[in-house]
Amino acid sequence: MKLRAALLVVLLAGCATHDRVILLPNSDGGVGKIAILRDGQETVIGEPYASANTDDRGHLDSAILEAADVRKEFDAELAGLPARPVTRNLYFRADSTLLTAESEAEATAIFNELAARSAVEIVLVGHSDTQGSERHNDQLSLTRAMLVRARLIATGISAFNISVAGMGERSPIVPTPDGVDEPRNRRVELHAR
Amino acid sequence: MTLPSLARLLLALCLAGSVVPAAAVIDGVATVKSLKGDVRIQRGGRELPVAVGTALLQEDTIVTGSDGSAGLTFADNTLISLGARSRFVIDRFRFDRTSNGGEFQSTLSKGRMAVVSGKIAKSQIDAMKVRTPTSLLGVRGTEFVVEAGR
Repeated sequence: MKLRAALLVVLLAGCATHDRVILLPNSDGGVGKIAILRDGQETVIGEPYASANTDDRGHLDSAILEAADVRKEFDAELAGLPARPVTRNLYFRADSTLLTAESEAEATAIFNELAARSAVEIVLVGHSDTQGSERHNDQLSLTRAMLVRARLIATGISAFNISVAGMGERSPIVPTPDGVDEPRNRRVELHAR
Repeated sequence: MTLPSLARLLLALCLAGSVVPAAAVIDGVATVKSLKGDVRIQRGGRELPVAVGTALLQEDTIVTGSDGSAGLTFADNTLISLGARSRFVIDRFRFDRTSNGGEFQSTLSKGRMAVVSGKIAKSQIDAMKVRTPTSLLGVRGTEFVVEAGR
């Protein structure tokens, strides 16, 4: 029995464990880096489709693989990645809760894309320009965000998945003095994932 | 609650943490976005019912069967797609929504995953680490796949 156990240990030891990491190009076309950290030393891979193999005997070897082979081998995992997080601005008419014609034109497509995501999480942050009082703009910015929320709910997204805030005139894209009509600051920021 | 006081409350929340996090994220470090086949979540020695929208916590273990897969989106926007016959542990996840800094350590003890790293990996060198049975990976802002225990 003891001999068998010893034999098993030898057999298992002969069957080394291998791990592999393969670096992919980013969706923006660039490429990051991965460091393999071992015993205070690091080996860095930084080319598209570079792979590093490690095993439990301390070996490490790297290679550059064919893009098509990697895409095929990891097809299921790559296809299973959740939708990329997005940030969009929707712009409003002066002192109004109506979207500009340009934002209105793209709003439906954006809302539909978000409604198609599973377990979507959305944060809406309303903003105003510096025309009007701070108090008025606090309310206006929140009303803008609430309006976008209502449109999202009408598209079929649960209210539970949407958070809303109004920032008034405090966080402009384009800083201006008080009382300035600035279309780029009249917006609702939409963060979704 | 009147609208202006709601506005002030939201504003206070907003200023405290740059933006108000979505409800599902307040409790969890990640949200299950997709599920296929046999997927189990182990938390504190117990098995949880799994559904799309489930919030995951630090120290949760996700195990997939031979037909299983799961898509996870983390609070820092890291995306992870876990393949079949895999075992993945969220060892440590800490994310500061104001500074976008934090720490994310996980272990893939077997199986495969595809990863798109998020804000934590961008914040500081090796703030995101992935352990496999024979390696420790420092993720420096990137997309990659890992296969463990071949």
